[in-house]
This record gives sequence, C-alpha cells and structure tokens, in this order.
Amino acid sequence: MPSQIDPTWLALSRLRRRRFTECIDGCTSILQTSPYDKAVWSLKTLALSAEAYTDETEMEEEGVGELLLDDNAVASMPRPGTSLSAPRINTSDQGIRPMSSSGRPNTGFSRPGSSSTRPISGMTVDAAFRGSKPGTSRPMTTLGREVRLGTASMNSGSGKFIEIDKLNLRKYASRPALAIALIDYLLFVEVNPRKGLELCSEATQRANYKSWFWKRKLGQCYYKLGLYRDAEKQLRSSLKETPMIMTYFDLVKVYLKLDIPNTALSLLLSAGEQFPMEPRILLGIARIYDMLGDVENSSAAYKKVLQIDASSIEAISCLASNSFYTDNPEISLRYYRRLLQMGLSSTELWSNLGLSCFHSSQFDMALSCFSRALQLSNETNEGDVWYNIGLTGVSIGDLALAYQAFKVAVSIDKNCAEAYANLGVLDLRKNDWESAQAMFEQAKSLAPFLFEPLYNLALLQWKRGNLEGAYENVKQSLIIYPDHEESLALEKELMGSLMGLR
Amino acid sequence: MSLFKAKDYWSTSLSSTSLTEYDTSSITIAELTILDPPQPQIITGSLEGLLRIHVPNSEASAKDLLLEEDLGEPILSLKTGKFIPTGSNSAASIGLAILHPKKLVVYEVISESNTLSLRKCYEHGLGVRGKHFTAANMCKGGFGRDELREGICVQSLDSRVQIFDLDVESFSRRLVGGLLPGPIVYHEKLDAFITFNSLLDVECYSFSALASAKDTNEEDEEEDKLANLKSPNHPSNTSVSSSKKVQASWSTNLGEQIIDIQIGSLEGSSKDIVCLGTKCIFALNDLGSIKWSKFLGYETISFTLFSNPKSNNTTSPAQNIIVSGADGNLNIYRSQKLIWKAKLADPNSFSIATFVSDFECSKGMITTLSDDCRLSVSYLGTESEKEGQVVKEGKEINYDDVDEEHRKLLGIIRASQSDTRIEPREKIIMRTQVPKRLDEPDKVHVLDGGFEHLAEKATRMPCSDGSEGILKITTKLFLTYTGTGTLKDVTVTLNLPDAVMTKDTCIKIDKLKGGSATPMIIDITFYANASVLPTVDTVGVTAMFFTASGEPRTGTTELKLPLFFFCRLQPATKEPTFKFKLDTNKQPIMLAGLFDDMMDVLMDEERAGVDASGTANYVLTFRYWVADPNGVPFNATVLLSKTSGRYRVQSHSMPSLWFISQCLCSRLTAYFENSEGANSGLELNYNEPHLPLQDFYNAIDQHFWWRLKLAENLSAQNDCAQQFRTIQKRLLLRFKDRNAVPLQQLDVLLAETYHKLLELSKEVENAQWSLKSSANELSCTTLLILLFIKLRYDMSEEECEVLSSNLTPNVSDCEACGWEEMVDSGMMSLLRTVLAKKNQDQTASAQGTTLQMPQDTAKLKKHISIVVDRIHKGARLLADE
Repeated sequence: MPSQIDPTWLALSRLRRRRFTECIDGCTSILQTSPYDKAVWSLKTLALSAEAYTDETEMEEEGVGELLLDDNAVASMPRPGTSLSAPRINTSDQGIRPMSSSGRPNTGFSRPGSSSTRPISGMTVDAAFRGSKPGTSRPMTTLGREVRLGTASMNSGSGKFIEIDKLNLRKYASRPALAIALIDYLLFVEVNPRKGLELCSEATQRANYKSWFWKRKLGQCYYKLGLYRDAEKQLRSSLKETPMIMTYFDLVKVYLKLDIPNTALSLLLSAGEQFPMEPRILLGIARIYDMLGDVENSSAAYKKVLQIDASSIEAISCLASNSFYTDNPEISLRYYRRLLQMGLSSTELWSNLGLSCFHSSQFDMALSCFSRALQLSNETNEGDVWYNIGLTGVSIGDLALAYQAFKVAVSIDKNCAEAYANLGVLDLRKNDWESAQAMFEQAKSLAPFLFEPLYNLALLQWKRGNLEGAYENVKQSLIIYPDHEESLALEKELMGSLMGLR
Repeated sequence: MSLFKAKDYWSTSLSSTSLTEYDTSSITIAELTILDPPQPQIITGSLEGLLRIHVPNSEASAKDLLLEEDLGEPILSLKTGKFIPTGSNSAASIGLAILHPKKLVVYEVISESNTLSLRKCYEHGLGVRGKHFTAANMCKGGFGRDELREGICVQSLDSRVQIFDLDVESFSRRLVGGLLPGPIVYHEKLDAFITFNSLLDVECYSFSALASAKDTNEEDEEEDKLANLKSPNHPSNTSVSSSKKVQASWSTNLGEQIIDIQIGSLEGSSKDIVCLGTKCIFALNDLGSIKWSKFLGYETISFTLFSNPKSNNTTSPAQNIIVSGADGNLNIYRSQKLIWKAKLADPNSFSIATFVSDFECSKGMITTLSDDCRLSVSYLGTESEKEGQVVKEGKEINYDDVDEEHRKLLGIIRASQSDTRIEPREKIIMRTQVPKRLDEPDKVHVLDGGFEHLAEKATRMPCSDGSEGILKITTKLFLTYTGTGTLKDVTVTLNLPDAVMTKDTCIKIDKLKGGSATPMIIDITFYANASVLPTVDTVGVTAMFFTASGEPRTGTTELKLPLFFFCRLQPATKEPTFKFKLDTNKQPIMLAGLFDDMMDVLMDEERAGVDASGTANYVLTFRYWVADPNGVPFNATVLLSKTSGRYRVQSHSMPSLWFISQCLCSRLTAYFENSEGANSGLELNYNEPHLPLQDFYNAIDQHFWWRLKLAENLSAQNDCAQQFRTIQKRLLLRFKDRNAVPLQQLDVLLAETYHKLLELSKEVENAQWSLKSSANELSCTTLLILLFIKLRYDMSEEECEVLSSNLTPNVSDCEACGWEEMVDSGMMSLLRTVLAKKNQDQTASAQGTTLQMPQDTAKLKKHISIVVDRIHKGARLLADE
C-alpha cells in the first residue's frame, strides 16, 4: 500500500469494509508511536467491539445457575397461559407434536435458547445440567460462558488493549465520544457489565437523564447483571424518551426472563403498531405464541412475517412444521422445498423433507431424502434421523428395520427417550416383557414429560398384574395429558380392580 | 439465504496485486463524456492511485477499459459533477473530482473517437493557510442552491470541512462532532450538510449558517488572527469575522454507527434522509425526526437508492433501496418491505459499493464492486442458488453385493438376538491311554517331600529287588486344542474316587498350541488307597480355559482305570458267606477270557497257581488291596456253571461283592455287544428268592453305630476338654495370686485330665476311621443292593437313576447331615410321590423339613422295606407321561 495514505484513514476505511483484523493491527501500530491519539484509540475500540459483537436481540441459552436458582419469575405457581413454564395446553396437539430434549414442543426452527428454555415442569438438577444437544451440558451461568469467551479472545491477542480496572470512568463519561466507544467494548469485548454500569450511570447523569441511548445501555448492563426490574425501569424510560426497535427487543428479553410472556406479548404488539413493517417484531410475537403453545396465533404471525420478508427462514420452517403437525404434510413439503431452493441443505431439512414426503405418500422420495440426511449428518443429529427412519419402518410395517433403526438411534443418542419408548413397544410385540419394561422405564427417566412411556408402562404392569404400579404410572400420564382417552379408560379399569380388591 | 442469484452480465477484476484495495467511495458511475453510442462509464480509483474507466459490453474484452492512468497518489474518493467552470474552453460539462490525501484535483475527460484522455482543470491543496490536513471524504452539491454549478466539500480526518466553489476555496470550518469523521452528504432542499459524528448523532449543518459561523477552534482562531494580521484581505476571513459559532441546526441520536447517508425520496413525495447503520436502516425527515427504522438482522456494508425503472410517477419516482450485506446478499427494499433478495455471483465476497444505472443493454443494471476488487455488472436473474453441498453419489452400487452384505448382517443380528447360543468351535479335546500293566513299583522314599500322606495310605507291593515299594500306574492324557492360536493358562482338574490317589489333582498348563500341532501329553501317576474298597473305576478329567474374548470354557473326559489297579487274581478260595447267582440267557463265557487282562498281568508262577489244571475258566478269585481290621484281605470269587450261562459271585464280606459284580455285568454286556452287536438280547437276572436286605440293614446299623459312637466320643472329648480348661484356669489364678491357697492336687488332676483327653482323642480318631471304613462298606453295599434291584426288577436306566438318587450310594458323613436321614427323606419322598397308593395324590410334594439324625434306624429300614415291597409289587419309579 502506498505510503501516502494516512494510516488512520486506511483503518477507518477498513473498518467500514469489515476488515477488522487489519484495522486493529493498523490502529495498534499507530498507537505505538502516538499512544494518546484519542481518535485512533476510539477507532480501535470500535473495531474490537464490532469484531466481538454478538446479536443480543436473540434470547441466549440459560445456564444451570439461572435455571436452578431462578427467583426472578413473577409467579411461582403461574396459571396456565401466563408463564413459559405453564403454557396453555392445547390438547388436540399433545399426542402428535414431539418435544425437544427439555420437554417443549418442537417449533421447527432451532434458535438460540429456544431449544433449551426452561422445561415445562419438574426441573430436576439432572435435567438442568443436560444441554440441548446430546452429550453436551449447559454452562454454569450465562455470564460465565461470556466471561470465558472474553478471556479466551483476549489471550489470543498480545496483552490487554485497555486496562479496564485502571480506567477513570468519570473522566471518560465527560467525553461522550470516547464513552460511546468504550461502552460497547466493555459489554462485548471485556464482558464486564459492572464497569459498564458505572460508565452508563455517569454518562446518564451527564446527559441530564435525557439520553435514550445511555438509558438503553444502562438497561442492558442491568440485564446482564441479572437485575431485571432495574433493567425494565431503564428500558421503559428509554422508550419513553425515543422509541427504538432495539430497545423493544431488550425489554422483551427482560420480560421473558421475568417469565411474564403476556406482558412481553403486549409490549411487542404495541411496538408492532409503531413499527408495522418490522418482521423481527412479528417474529418475536410468533415465538412467544409458540412458547405458550398457541399454534394458530403463531402461524398467523409467521405468515405476516413472510409478507414483509419473504426469505425469513425461521418463519418458513416454523410454518412448515406447524402444517406438518396439523396434518398437512403436502403443504409443509412445499415449505421445505422452498427452503431447499434457498440454498439450505442440512440434515434436519432433509429429514423433515423425508417425513413430509412419506406422509404425503411419496414413498420413493422419502427414503432418498433420509439417505441424504444421513450423509449430511453428524453425531449430534444422526440419532434423530435414525429415529425418523424407525418411525417410517413402523409405518410401513417393516418392524425389523424399525427395531434396528431405533437401536441405532439410541446407540448414537443415548438420551433419545422416544426411541426407547418405541423399542419398548416393539419388544412387547416380541413378547419380551422384561425388556419392554426396562425400555419404558428408561424412557420415563429420560423424558418425564412424555406421557406415552408412562401409559405404556402402566398398561404393561396392569397386564402383568402389578395393579399398584400401573395405577401410579397412569396417574402420572394423566397429569401430563389429562384428556388422554386410553389413560382415562385404564385408570377407570384399575380403580375398579383396586376397589374390588379392598 | 436467498432464493435467487444475481446474474453477472459483465465483470472484470481490478486487482493488479493481492494488496490492491478500494474504498467504498472509490467508484462512481457517470456519463463523463459522450461516447458512441452514448453509455455511462464506470470510474474506479484504487488506493494505489490507478484510475480506470470501464464501459461494460456484452462480451468482456480489453476494449471495455477505456482509460487507465496512474495518478501517483492514492485515490480516496471520486465524484462527478458540474465542477468545470463555464467560462473555460472545455467541451465536457461534467468534471471528475478526485480526492487525494492532501489535495483535490478536478479533471475533465476528453474523448477522441472513443479514446479517452484526462485533462487537469484545477487543483486545490487541502488545509487552512498552508497547514495541511488529511482528507477523509467529500461530498458535492449546488451549495447555496446553485443549480448551474456544483461545489465540493471535503471533510478532514479531524472533522473539519473545507468547501470549494469550482476553482476557488470558499471557507473552512470545524464541525462540532467528535473524534472520527462520519459520512457527509449535501441535502439540496435544506441547503445543508448531513453528517454523522462520533456521538452517534446525525447532524444537519445549514450551508448558510456554516458559511456565516465563526470557527470554534481556539488554535485556529489564533491562527486566524495571525493570518488577519499578515494578510487582512484573505478571502475566507470575511465570514470568520462574524461571531457565530458553528452549530448544527438539528441532531438526532440513532444509537449506532452509521455507515452511509443518502438523500432520496422513498415514498415519492418528499426527500428523505436515509441512514444505513450497522444493524438498522433509518429514514429521517427534513427536521431530523425518525420516520421509520428497520432492523435488518445482518451485517451491512453499503447501500444505494435507485429509482424504480418501472415507476409510473415520473416527476418524483419512489426510490428503492439496495442494501448489501456481509453475507454476500443484495437486499432490495421498497420502502420497508423486502421485495427481492439475491446472492452475488461470487459467493465468498460482498459488495462494498453498489450502483444502479442504465447501460446500453438494459435499464437498471446493478454495478457492484466487491471487497476482493471485482467489478461486475449484473442483473437479478431467477436462477436459483446452487445447492450448498452437493452429495457425492460415488461409484455405481452393486445391488447383489449390497443384498449379500445385508443378508449377512441380518444373520449376525438375528444370531445375537436369539436366545439359543451356538457353541464356539474352539474346544479342547482330551484322550486317555491306559497301560496294559502296572508300573514298576516305586520306592517308598520316592514320595518323600510333601507326599508322605500318600505313601502312608498307598498300597504296598514288593519291588523287583524285593524291598517294599508302592503300587502305581501311569496313564497318559492327550490334550488337543481345535482353535487357532495358543491358549494360555489351561487348568486340568482330576476328580478322583476315594480308592484312587494322585500327587496333584490340579495340573496347570502355561501354553497349549492350537491347530494341527501334535497334542500335548501329560503323564498322570495314580496310587491305590489301601484302606478303601473301590466303588467306581473312573476318574473325571476337566480342562478349563478362557477364550480370547474372556469366556471360561471347559472340556471333559473320563479316565477308566484298569481292574488290575484295584485287585489281583489269586488261587481260588471258597468262602461262601455271601453269594448270589446271576443268570444269563446266553452261552457261558470262559472266565479266563472274560478277565484276560487280569490273567495277562500275572507272573508265570502266579498264573500257574490261579489256573491250576485249567480251573481259571470256571472259577476266579480276586483279592483287593484292602484288608479288614483283622488283617484278612477282602476277596471276591466268581464261579461259572459249566452247563449254562449262570454265574455265581461270592465272598466272605458283602461289600467286596460289589466291585467284581459290577465288573462282571459290564464285561458280559460289552462282550455280547462286541460279538453279537448292540441288540444282542442279553438278559441278566438276579436269581435269588430274596434281596439280601437284612445284610444291607446290618451295614446300615454298623455305620449308624459308628456315627453314634463318634458323637459319643466327641461329646466325651468336649466334656474332658472343658474340664481341662477349667483346671487350667484355676491353676493360673493361683499362679498369679500373691497369697495363693494350696494347690490341693489340682496339678495331678490336670495331668490326669490331659492323659484322658489324649486317650479320648485317639478314640475319636479311631471312631472316625471306623466310620469312614464303614461308610465305604455301606457305599459298596448300597451299590450292590441297587444293582440287585435293577437286575431283579428289570429296571430301565432312568428308573435306576431315580432310585439311586434317593437311595444314594454316596455315603458322606458331615455334621450337618448324615446318610441315614438323607436316605430316609428320599424314601419318604418316593413313598409320597411316585410310589404313593393310587388314591393318593401322586404329585403331592414332600414337606420341607430339616434333616435330623434319627434316634435309631428302625424307621429307615421300614421305609426301605416298603419301597422295595412296592417295587416288588410292580410300582414304577417313573410317572407315566
């Protein structure tokens, strides 16, 4: 590069073109000669924060600490439909829609935190530690993971750029341009919301409590520190000052942490009036409806998203899975084909395509789709593909294939409770009662939110004469799915037998 | 992810070296000069200083590059506009302004028959009065609402703007802003500059206010003062004299870094200020309030506004927005709605500058400059994006092979799922070889060193030199392993009957070679026990090993010891205390032939004694090594009737009949099977009116008596030992006592008790020995009785087994349970079940009771009698199925 170019200008140009590393290197070499150049200092800070930036408008994965020691939820025993841990139970749906590893109905799109938000009921320590993917575990706390990432990225560089402990934040707050550069650095690179909070409060004070920007940042810092009520206050105040989309996203996150989804929903709906063409707000609405188990409203919201942004993968995939589980496999097939045309090619997509093909009677396509899925799979999702192949085997009556496929599924993913339940049923067909019982017990311990293994276990125990065990299990099954006809019939039968015995 | 791909119409690479870089503002499209046919030209300037002008044609060729010139200085920004003074004698109306770090140059482009050349119009050095600043970016416009010509505003790195009106420098002001210069544009309607500062504010500086404001920088003020003193007539000083500060007419905080600002009419009516942030896009109205904002959800790089070519409203067409993202997509928005999304042809790069212009080929072509210096003109095709991952099909599948493999795998799966196990092929096969005669007897001292207990019990026999030796026989055991490889740690265990002894019943083999290797040979030497009558003649041999997978496996065989190991022939004696007759339905067999192996081992002189005048064919006497307590050896004699196949076995003791009778029976069976085949029809009959039950009872009584005796002795010994300990304790007390009382003959008592204890112990030992020998006799007798019952009532093997498991010949006496109570319980269970009377329930199971030593044997005898009686009456021991 010719020497006539000013290095500061070059760094600025490179930051615009997202060549962060070159930009940071350039700044570092300038700072070596003139260490007090504020412009270059702020440029480097900006580049570092832009490099470390993570989209925080999405919900992050919750840590074990948050799940087990969560006292932020507003109501400890929420009424159905008012909390994420007590979604409105849509009974027509329950037997059909599969659950994720934490017992939530699958939504069709794997978004951060969505697959592993708080399980529906009965949080055990064991379940809390289990990660969303097989063989992974949750981080101890959300912040813990960020801190670890932060230190790792700093170590890779040559020493620390800014010694945050030595900063005089009051001095920086008096220079707003530097403070703005610094706050993102504190939040994204150093991940030190405590220092960030200090800076924000100084800066807000200087801005005579009038700056929506600093109030929002203050809210973000409070959120990261887990002070949700303070965060809400600041964000609300910021919105009053100037309503911005990003502030709405932050506030919704706070409400979801506080487990008041209906408030979050009404906030999003009012934001939607203000920003009617904003797909992300509609997506947020759809997600909350999804989490509350309200499929109709979420589908409507997803459709609105597609009207504004026709290439929203999340909306397409969620609509696809919704229509699949409402017995429209042909329609979901079209959605999935659209995703395929958009250049998506993943195990999950091929596997879903296979299932949709199978259920819309295109058998020749189904198996080739599954083989594609297997070719693309890795150890985290191969088990699911095999489980689906097993289900196909059951449907076409090739029980040997089904049995082997389920066996492969549990060999890859030992937490695949559904595969265990199906293996149990197949064992029953072979009159291998002991093995069947073991399978059901295994499925029950892995996924206490499934009613199928409980009901099957109850049925098995009833047939073998263990009336008491059967009664206990059928009771549990009815707690999960109160309208399950077969469970109700079995309970009645068992009640009769037990009364007779007395 | 996008559904479609942008289709390249024309493209070229602008990179001469890998280090070539272009800034986002180092490209522009304009009709600088009129070509034939008229076409807009793409002007690019690299940071190295290379200026190029391209005109895209349908086929990319070298002709597309109309101008290439090295300006020698980095090109930061390019603008085209009405920069050329009207008075000058230039043909072109459009000038090209090029921003270098320290100067601004305006060129005009002259075309002569489609060959372009540059001509410099004028040049401005940047900076205030000789003090240079470094340019950051520039904008152009008809400042002061001048429609005929356009001015240029250059912003420096420290946010100072310098405004040039054609070839005259107007003025220079420092903006309020912060540290880093943001994008700057001129808003015609407001006659103002819109810029962005480090406080994340979008600011509007009115041109007139700026022109009339006073520069705020103190340093500059001083400089200005100095300059005023020096040259009071400096053109820029007229405005500086006013005391107004530079102030933005409005400013709006957008909360994020703004990359680019453009002015356009999105809804067709009014002009909007469109600001592209790193995450959102904002539309501001003239007063700086946000009309709308949109979260984009991807990393933005650049954007452009363009008039919709199909828009009907020609006066003020609504403009669309193209935003290029870092993921290489072009996102086209009409107002806030995403109407198209296309991926760039080059999937690994993104566009740093995007333009829409009408080329010769078509209207509304999209020109993009990618980060890796690729200039391309493309259009929005409907070709769908290629699949991300193409799955390799691999070679042709041979379906027969696949089927075969599938079958094989299914077989394995089925085998592992079924319950029946298949025996592995690897096993140990054992074979034994028994010599025809006894070994040369060992000297007694050979067994010294650990095996004295053997020598004590073993049968003695004179050695060849006349000294006392020990009778022994050495058999060979052949071990073959059928599997491949070598087995390690094979253990061979011998299960010996009472009458046989050997040095070591457990033989360890370190290595056993498999396959076709010659079998391993082990010599095993057996000694005969001189105190026990033989009951069976077989030794069980078990070899245990572990397979490669760690499973324990065994191989077994039986070693049949020869008769001459247990007894020998001697001249016939007649002592018919106990005898029985055995009838056969066949011709008599000469005894010497039947027992030819016994004859063979005899020395010549002995043989003469046995076979005196050929009597050996009709009478043979066997002598066991065992003698009764009186020293009389146990004998058994076999006599053959000369006319019919009737044999008589006799002896002076009943137990000694057993072994020979059993030998006789088995040899007769074997003989006829050999000579006449398996279905020889040989019938053996016990030809006596009664079973010798009384003698059996006597044996039981004797055994029982010795049990009682032993119990009595043990109890006496226990009492005596108690007494001994008590005396000891008292003596010890006195020994410890300082003022001890006299001993009072306690020492004598202790000695006496000690002697008595020793005596009693000897008696116990004797009783134990006697019990053992009586048990041995009882065992033989029981076997004999079982044989009689079998022969007399023509029982099948299975029935015989049922009976012998209840009337067990295995007499083992332990404290917990003795033979008598065991057999009594067996008899009771037989009587309760299979031998029950018809009206009783035959399946009633015997009640489980703890076995206790009975007071006497009367009950047992009675039960045995009843069982035999029932069998005699025709009851069968196997329930009919």
